[in-house]
Amino acid sequence: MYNIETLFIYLLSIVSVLSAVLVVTQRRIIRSVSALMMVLLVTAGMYVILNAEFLTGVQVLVYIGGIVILIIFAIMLTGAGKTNDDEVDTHKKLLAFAVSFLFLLCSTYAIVNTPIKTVDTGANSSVRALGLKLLDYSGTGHVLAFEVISLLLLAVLIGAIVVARKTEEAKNA
Amino acid sequence: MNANWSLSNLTERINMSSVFVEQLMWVAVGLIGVVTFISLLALVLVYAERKICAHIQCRLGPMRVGWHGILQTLADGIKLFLKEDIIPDEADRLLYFLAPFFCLVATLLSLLVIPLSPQVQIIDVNIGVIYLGAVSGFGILGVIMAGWGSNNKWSALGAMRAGAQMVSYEISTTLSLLVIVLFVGSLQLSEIVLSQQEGWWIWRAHGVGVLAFILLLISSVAELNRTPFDLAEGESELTAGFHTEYSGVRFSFFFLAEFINMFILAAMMSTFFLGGWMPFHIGQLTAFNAAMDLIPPAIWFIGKTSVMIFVFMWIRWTFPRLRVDQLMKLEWQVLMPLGFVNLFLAAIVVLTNFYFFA
Amino acid sequence: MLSIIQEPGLTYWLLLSTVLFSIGLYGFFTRTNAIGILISVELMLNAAAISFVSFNNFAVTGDLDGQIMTMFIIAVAAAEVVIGMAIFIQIFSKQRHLNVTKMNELSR
Repeated sequence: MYNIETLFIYLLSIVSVLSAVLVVTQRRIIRSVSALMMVLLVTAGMYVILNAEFLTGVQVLVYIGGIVILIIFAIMLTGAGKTNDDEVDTHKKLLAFAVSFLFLLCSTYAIVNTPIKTVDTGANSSVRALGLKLLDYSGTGHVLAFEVISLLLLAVLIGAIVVARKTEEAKNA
Repeated sequence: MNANWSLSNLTERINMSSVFVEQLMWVAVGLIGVVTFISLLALVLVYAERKICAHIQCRLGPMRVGWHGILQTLADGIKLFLKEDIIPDEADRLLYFLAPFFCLVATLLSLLVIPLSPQVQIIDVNIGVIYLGAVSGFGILGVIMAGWGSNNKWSALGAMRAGAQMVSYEISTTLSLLVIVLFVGSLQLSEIVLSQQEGWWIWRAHGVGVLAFILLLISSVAELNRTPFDLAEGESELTAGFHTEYSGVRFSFFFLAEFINMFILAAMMSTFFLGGWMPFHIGQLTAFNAAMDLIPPAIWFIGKTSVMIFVFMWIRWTFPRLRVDQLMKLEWQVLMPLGFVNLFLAAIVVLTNFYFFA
Repeated sequence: MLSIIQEPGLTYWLLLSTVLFSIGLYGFFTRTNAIGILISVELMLNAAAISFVSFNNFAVTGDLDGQIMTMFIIAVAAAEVVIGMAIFIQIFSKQRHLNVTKMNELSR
């Protein structure tokens, strides 16, 4: 009943939940980001188990190799790593915990009681099929979303440069 | 010994197939092989760098330790191991201890997928190109963690510069690799090598291939933090950059990681553009081709990689260093647009089948 | 209930994704540093991506919509972090802190 794949699934789940708890409770931001990196790495492992190998590579490449590095750069540039996070009051923390737990209970009830028809064969996840599906311009393809995403990334690139540059009065000050 | 605890019985009890255990053992053998390979490689490469540097500068280099200084690297390694392990006062311990491991693990993981010969490729992932880009991100994280965790202004500055430089030049690297992926049609490294049976991509994909090769050469030198792009660890500028506060064994990890990275990037260049382990064949000359086939594929691979490593070292000791704004300008205003135009032209070339021996 | 854990099928993966999402939700409510809030948002987006991929693997096999949606989620998360960090850096250059509980005036 227990085979090696199930063992891996349990291991990855436990590590991801523990790291997620570390992400939200550590007061030092650098520790929080390191735990986030652990969660993203473990998620990449889960994608391999879920037959999505291309997504594993994309997850590590973009999320860990891009987003986490960007967050670390921002932390270093804003000095957030030197001072610890201020704590919120305890009753606010209890309220937040209650809300999250309530959400968890409602979602669990909904998931467990919804019959979803599952099929036992895994996904067909060759890179070729992904590429064809992404650029398919028939009704079931996603080429429109692909083009919109590229426009979005262009807008973000330009917008970030415009937002983060030094303004004139800052240069003269 | 109690019969209940034999290996096959154990695997039955936790329902592991023996095929999986066998694969696991092969991967363990592969890992031990890679570690041995890394050690030998480091010995040879450090000695080669010092000798080549010396001869380019019209001097002799290490000559005392062993015949013509062959044991110099060994002596350096022993010296590094025996040094005192100094940890800075308020260093962030977690990051300070983890950073060298991140750099070394990144190089180890990259070495696992390089095809040395038709039989020697430890793991053949079907997303090889993306895997290589992904694990170089771990190297970048190691550099940034080293600078931040040292609690030293100059280290942090050096780490930020090095990190920004490596992230920027990774774009150009990926763009030139993508040109070859366009030609081959697969992300798998063994497929890329096999597709070069009729000719290496550097002349099969003519203008586009040569431009991609040059872009990859420049970006690799920048990715490795070597001169002319080594402002992050320039000895006269920032003490030693992000690894200032590391001494002894920890420094040797960074040092090792830098040299093995050089081997990996040279191996990537020879796999993608120079044919990997494919011998050098010319069209219809069957006698010549047969003679070339006599040389084993591993020797072809090592030969091509060595030529690329020599080119890296040659570039290092010939050019002066670029300033950091010149470096960034080079990437974002010259190399990246060129990379995109090259990719676009490569797509046109592939679609119109305009490459040789098609 | 125990069978969900002993044979991880779709329900197990969806529950895991929900647990990660609610942990991220707690972090979103609790952090005072703006970057900490963004980190919790990343956690939530990652949890949603896991649920998409698990649906793709178990319920809609042969078709790859879940994985493509996940690729888009990753792209949008990257875009969001980029703009967020640009804004935070600009705010920091004026206010010298990133504490969201103290950022309640438009100008000093």
